[in-house]
Amino acid sequence: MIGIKEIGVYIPSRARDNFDLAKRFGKDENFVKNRLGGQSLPIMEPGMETSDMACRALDNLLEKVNLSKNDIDCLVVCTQNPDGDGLPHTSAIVQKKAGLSQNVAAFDISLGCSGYVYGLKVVQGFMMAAGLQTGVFVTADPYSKIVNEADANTVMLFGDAATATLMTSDNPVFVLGRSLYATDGEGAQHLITQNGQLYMNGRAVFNFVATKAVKQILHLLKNADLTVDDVDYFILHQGSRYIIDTIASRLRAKDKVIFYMETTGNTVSSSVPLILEKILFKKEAKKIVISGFGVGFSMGSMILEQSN
Amino acid sequence: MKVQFDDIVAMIKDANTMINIESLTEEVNLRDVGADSLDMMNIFLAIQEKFGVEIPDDDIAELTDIKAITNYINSNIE
Repeated sequence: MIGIKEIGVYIPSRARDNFDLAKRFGKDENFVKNRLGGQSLPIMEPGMETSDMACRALDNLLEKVNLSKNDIDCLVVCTQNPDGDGLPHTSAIVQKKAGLSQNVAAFDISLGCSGYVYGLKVVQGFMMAAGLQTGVFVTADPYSKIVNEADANTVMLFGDAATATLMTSDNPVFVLGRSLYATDGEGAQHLITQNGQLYMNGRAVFNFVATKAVKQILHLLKNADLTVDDVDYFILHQGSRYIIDTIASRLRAKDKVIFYMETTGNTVSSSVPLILEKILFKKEAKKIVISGFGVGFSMGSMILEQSN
Repeated sequence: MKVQFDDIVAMIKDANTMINIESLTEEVNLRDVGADSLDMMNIFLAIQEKFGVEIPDDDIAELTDIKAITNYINSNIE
């Protein structure tokens, strides 16, 4: 079965200091550390494109595994901030920049914070249906392109990062288990770009996540005949420290929910794989629940199981 | 049954806010005893879930203390 074998990451070295931003917006250090969570917010270099971030993550992946670029026969990029104006699809640009084979199947997925959970199954299903062997699923959604510098609600929250997940049936580390997906387009207006800039109604997003995401995770566990106790780690989309704490508290799983966004901020679809990369080879990470939620309002949750 | 001061205090305790529970009185401004905007969001969500009372964004500004909150719930509860 096609699963996850390795994950490459790219986090730009250039970053905004969130404590500096806090001073500008009249917030204190505690607010940055315990409410927002991101202390340093990476931003891609001027002149860099989404495809460049994707290529850096892909390069990092290729440094970790014994894989030729010619072996890659499927490339999927998850982004809502593609190169240029979005035409052509960013995955085609990555194919050229990265020097991948012209026989690669390449397409983009337009999803935000739920994108990784959706994308894993999309890539797996597509590869199985098309008889493909070696897929790379990239997340690269640089919100620095759309964030409003004058809006504390968003400029203090988001950071740029990219990831590249190798998907293959050749000894995967994690196999994909049960999953659940949901959409509430009624909430679409609360996290949206208007005139090229990001707008977020924090209260509406918080209410959505605190209620529906938690319910979805519990529903998923029930479907799989599992309880919170059976799960080794919960890897949740790192929306903010406050969101993570709220979900962890509602799940009654504070010691199992991983928090990792101090040096990244909210990296949209990259937040889950950035954490997954860190625990990929931990023996105790036998059963994991990943969950992404946000833009749309869209959400997805999935069980990952160590394959051996 | 009317919602009372103690019901709201219990709810605030459960909501894991930064509010100093000992300092709570009916009329103290919640912002003055440790609540920030995120805590207030959390409290309003808890009210919505527990009492089934939806609080539109336009009404939030007036709900600064427990007395105002209990009055609001009691006048909107079904």
